Amino acid sequence: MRMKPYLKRSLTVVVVGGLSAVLVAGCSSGTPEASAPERDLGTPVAGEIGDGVLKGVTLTYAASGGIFQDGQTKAAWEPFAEKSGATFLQDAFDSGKLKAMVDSGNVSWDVVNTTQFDTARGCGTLYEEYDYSQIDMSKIPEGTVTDKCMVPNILYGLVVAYNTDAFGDNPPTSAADFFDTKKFPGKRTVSQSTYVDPQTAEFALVAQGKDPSTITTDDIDGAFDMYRSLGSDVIGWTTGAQAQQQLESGEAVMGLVWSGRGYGAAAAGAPIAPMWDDWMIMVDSTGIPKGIKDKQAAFAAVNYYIGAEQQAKMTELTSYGPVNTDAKPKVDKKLGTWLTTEHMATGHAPNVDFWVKNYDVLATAWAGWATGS
Amino acid sequence: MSQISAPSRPRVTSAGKVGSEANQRAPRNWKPFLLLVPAFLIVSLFFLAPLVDVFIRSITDPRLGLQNYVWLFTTETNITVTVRTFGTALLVTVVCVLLAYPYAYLMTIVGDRTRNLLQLFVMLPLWTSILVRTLAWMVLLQDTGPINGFLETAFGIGPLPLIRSTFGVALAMSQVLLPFMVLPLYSAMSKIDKRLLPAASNLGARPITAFFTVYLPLSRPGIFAGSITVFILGLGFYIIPSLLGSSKEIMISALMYQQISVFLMWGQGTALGIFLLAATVLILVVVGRLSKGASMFPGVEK
Amino acid sequence: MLRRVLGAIAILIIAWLVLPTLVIIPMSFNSASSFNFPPKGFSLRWYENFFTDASWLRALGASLQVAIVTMIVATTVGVMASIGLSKVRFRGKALLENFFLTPLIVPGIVIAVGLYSLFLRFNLLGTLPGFVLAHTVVALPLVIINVMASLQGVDPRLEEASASLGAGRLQTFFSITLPLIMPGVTAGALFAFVTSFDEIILSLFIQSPQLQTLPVKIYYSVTQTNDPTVAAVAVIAMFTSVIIMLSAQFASRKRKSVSA
Repeated sequence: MRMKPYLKRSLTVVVVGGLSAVLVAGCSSGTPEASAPERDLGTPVAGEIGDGVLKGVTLTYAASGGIFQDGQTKAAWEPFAEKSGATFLQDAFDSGKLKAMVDSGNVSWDVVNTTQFDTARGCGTLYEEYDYSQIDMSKIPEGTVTDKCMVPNILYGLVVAYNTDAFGDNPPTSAADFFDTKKFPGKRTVSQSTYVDPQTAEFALVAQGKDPSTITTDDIDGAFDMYRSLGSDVIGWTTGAQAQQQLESGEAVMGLVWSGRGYGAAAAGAPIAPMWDDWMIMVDSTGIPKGIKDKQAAFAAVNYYIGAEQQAKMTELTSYGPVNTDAKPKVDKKLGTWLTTEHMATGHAPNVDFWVKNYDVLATAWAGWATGS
Repeated sequence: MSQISAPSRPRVTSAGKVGSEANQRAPRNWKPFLLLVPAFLIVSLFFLAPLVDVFIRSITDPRLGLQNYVWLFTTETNITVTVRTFGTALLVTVVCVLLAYPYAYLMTIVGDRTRNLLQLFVMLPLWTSILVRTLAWMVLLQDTGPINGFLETAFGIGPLPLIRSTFGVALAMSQVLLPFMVLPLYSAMSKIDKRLLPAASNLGARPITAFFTVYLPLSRPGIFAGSITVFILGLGFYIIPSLLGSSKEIMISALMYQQISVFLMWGQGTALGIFLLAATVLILVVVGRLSKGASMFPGVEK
Repeated sequence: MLRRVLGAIAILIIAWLVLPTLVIIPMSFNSASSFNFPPKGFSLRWYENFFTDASWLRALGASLQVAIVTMIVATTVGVMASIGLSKVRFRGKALLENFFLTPLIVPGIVIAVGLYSLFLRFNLLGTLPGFVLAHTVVALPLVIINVMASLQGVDPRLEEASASLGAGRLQTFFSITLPLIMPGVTAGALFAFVTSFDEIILSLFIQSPQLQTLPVKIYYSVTQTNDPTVAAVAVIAMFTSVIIMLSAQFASRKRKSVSA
């Protein structure tokens, strides 16, 4: 090695570079931001906002993208921007980025769509508590507000979508059937995405005859072992688009997928139908990141978003269920069969408190499951 | 030679010899140092500083200490995924050597025009984004895709696990990394005296013996150079294993992303990143020592 | 005989390198909204989508802008650094050179995570300077490698002769050195352009609604929808880069034959 005689000089290079690097890395900008003016917006009514009251305000909504975010934008954010005078930007949500933003005090998202577990875990640290007096909560479906930092964003579910060409005459009718490869031969697709859906674990526990509301941490590994026991009959999906493609192409005859993705496959003409006998209720949160500049404007936007008209249109455009009990979306027969709001009686509600408390156990188990170990 | 030369690997051990003869004659002068300032600043501020930031986080998040590294080495999933990541990178390296060797050799025995063409074709894929090529593989390799469709109609077999398998991931990764093997191999082979093989046969060696005793050792620097590049680049792959593999093909980069973006464990995620980086540097140093031995062979300048 | 066998192997390898990607061409004319193979029917609707959707066009524009500026910055800085490295002599030089080249081998996601928190503090997320600086870091090594390779072939006596005839340093550089190393500079600049144009992992982290490059948009599309518009975009992007590369190669070959 010719490096040895260089050692001294080369150390200088590294040290100088390193020092300047540390300087940059260590220097953070914690500029105190001017608090936004409190305007008088009157008593909140879901779906309404005064003309031009938010002129000059810029809000950014971060969500998971695709047809879903486009639909929400068309149904609520665009009309909101037009009426209130605010500018509305759209970005792609990422929890890790949100944490970095909050840590650095430089938050560029005002309203985000995330899971109900995220807002419950991060309530007060990553997410602002709502001032529910600024939002008209009267038409929010019962039981959907699972922590103080959320207003429901959409209602949907983790449902079994099956191929009617394969099982049309004798469809699966329970969570246990999903694991019965003798009666229902063929490949199943299950989430192995980097994102954690505790409902995936709960579904397996329901198939074991357990009640999600009484589960313990000892049950968690057993849930993933259920999926592992399917062996080569289980394939994973890592993105919603992939789940849909696997159902559409027939690679999987059955899948435990987000209801909107099952509908997506059916809408593309694939012979796919939902099983409603055992399904897992999911609610997404609308969260407000901690430390945003103009909370009042963000609350007003959320209040507008949950209006009956906006929610009806959102459902028509995205196929996800509305969070306003007055919303009357005009849906065709096909979409009608995929709306979770019609089947609440057979849905299993998630045990949010349990998962928030035992998130680390879940995270370890999920990381193992999602990496095939 | 065409103008597009290879993005060859950074030569950790041999760099600095470049133009060293010219240096000896150049007068000592501080002005040329100014030319280095912009590059030094950019790389320090936007490459070294982020790495320092990542390192600091790995030992301070959520609190000061080495707990993230303890977690790293005591969690079964991490060990499985690390072993797999190295295994996949090694597999891809072997595939690339086997494919690139005859290709690079052919480049040394054909005319200029054909050689330029061969080089053009091997570089062509570099001009298409990895994302687009991955999308194409997704279409081709899926169970209901054209390859499985053909196998089924022609031979009645299938569907074979082309996608969601190590095979699919290695196929796509090798396709992306092959140019990084062909170019250093060709560069090493082009320096080998072409009269050596005939000379060996004249002395009675069979062509195969001549190849293994004469040619292969002489081409070793090229194999080393290409292998290190391919192996190290292979370690960091993220998109291809995520989109073409199943959970059993996920590599360290994806694990790191999951820790940071889903579990919000910045400390653990950045520790994984630092570990990957340290492994890379270690490999460079070790192989750098080994390949120095290779340069002792006659007729090859390192 | 050997040559035939090798030729056959080479043709198979070329087929494996080039042909699979072409499958997106038929997919881009699919009339169904799906990536199922074979495509059903023939339709131009995905191309129409691309050319009528402002966000796709904006992403293409942003990508071209970032790539061109990155190419200029990385090439200028890289040529300066290469010349500097070839002229200076000090003990840490090998290390300094390696320092410039390391971004090539550090896994993208590691830099991306660090760069994100850095850019967050300095408000560089989703800005043109932010993108250019981030892409320059990964493009710079390719410029330096190519230019250094060309500099090796330059006879230092030519520069000395120029200096002895009274030419200044800059004049010597532009009239003697630069023309001689032009092939390396062109190659480096082209690499810088494509590196930036295709860069995805850093870009995913540093993008914002204000500035989103084409690969970022393609990534979101591939992971969130089965919309074949992305196939049409891919075909357009693929042909754009291949045409740029072929014309650059053609141009430099022509120049070479003129100067020869």
